[in-house]
Amino acid sequence: MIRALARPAVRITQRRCASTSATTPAVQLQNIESRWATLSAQEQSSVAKHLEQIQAGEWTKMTTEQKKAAYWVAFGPHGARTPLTGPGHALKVAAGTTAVVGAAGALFLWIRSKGGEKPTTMTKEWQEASNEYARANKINPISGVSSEDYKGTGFVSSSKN
Amino acid sequence: MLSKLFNFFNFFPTAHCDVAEPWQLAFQDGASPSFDGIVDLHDQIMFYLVIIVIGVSWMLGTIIIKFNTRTNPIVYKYFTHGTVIELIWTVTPALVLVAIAFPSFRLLYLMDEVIDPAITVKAVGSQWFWSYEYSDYISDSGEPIAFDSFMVPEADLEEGQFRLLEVDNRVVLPVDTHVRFILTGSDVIHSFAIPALGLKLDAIPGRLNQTSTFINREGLFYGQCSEICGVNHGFMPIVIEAVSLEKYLAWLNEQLN
Amino acid sequence: MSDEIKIETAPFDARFPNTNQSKHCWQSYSDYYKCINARGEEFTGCKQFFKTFKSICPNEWVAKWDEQREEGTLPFKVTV
Repeated sequence: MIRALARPAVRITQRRCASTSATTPAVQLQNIESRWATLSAQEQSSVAKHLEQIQAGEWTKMTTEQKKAAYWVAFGPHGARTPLTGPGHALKVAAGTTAVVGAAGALFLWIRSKGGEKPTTMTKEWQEASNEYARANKINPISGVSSEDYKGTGFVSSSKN
Repeated sequence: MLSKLFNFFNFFPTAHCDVAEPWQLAFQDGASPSFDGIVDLHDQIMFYLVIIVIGVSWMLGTIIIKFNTRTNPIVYKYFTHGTVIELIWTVTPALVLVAIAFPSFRLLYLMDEVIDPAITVKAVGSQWFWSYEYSDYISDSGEPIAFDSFMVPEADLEEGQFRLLEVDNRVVLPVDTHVRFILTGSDVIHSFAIPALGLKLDAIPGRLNQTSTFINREGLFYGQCSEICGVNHGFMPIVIEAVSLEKYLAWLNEQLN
Repeated sequence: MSDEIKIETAPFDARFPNTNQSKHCWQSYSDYYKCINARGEEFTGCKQFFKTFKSICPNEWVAKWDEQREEGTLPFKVTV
């Protein structure tokens, strides 16, 4: 359906190309990959048309330059095949991400620095007492603090008193 | 080993709720048959989970390694269907779901059963404390046992007690006894949850939800309200003290007199 | 006192097999008052209803219904 709509437009441009190419006989094919972007849409289609005509004949008679140009026009990174990202894009993304995460971390640390004191239960002394309390009350007797041969630190997570 | 690793990276020690131990990753130690059922179900599902994780990672990895644009630049434009593979990857997940559903329903209905309770405890959630009623016994004055259970504020804790988890009046229950809980709310929805007993049930105003437990060892079991019920939702813990039957009777006597 | 305490509670009732026990409470409460209105407070057969609603109903619910019963505004019938 979309193709059917697009087809007449193509035909018009082709027709116009045919008439213009007749008046401008010399189509420059050197360095087509570097010049392509500077050409106008009309020039681009005249180059394409010109190459098409050449390719309609014997391919073995094409010069290297013509072959290169034909390949570039058909498969080169222009139009729909233009790369989405330029060089150094990955670095930019990495830098941006680091900056945002860093800002979030800084905000987090700033908020924490403005926070109140830690609860009194967060001292090592209290946490050791918690272990005793847990053992006295048979808390987690199978795999936790009250179990036999328990090796872990139990409720102790702070190193400071 | 793992806890050492966590402690190393633990720049900001946080207060851990529940009697889950700091940086605990697995379950708490269980104390009731429903909890054992939950752990069994967890392990059964983990079996399928490991298979699925390996299968999916393998497929994903294969696709990433073998079919990226560098190693496989040609796109097979018309290679879009494979009836056999589609049948396999539709039927297999269905069978896995069935295999998970059966043990899951079995456990669900087993946990629902309240066949022959010996004690009924009513727990009423209020903003923001729990009230407990033991009405199987009537005291000399004709009053049932009823008490409120508030969280102990940080300043009043004795050294070693758990912050945000201790209450002034604990629920005392005997071990090896079928206990029925009747749960309701007096204002908004609360939820009565004790991880070590595998209990979690909403306490809804105007409705009496029933659940049961069978505690199989003595100890202290901590739980918390598990339904957002207002600003002090985090400050209405539950403590169950499981004792021997003799001690329970002694406690009852004390309450009744 | 210790010898007097019997560890027993409202048994399972096949009419109320669900998690929601609200009806169990209400049924026992209204059955008890229907029972004593018909047979008198001393009738031992009514005791079971009393024990059941005592065990199942929150004290707050019972207090509210008792109040409404005394005022005559109870929204259900307890007379036979």
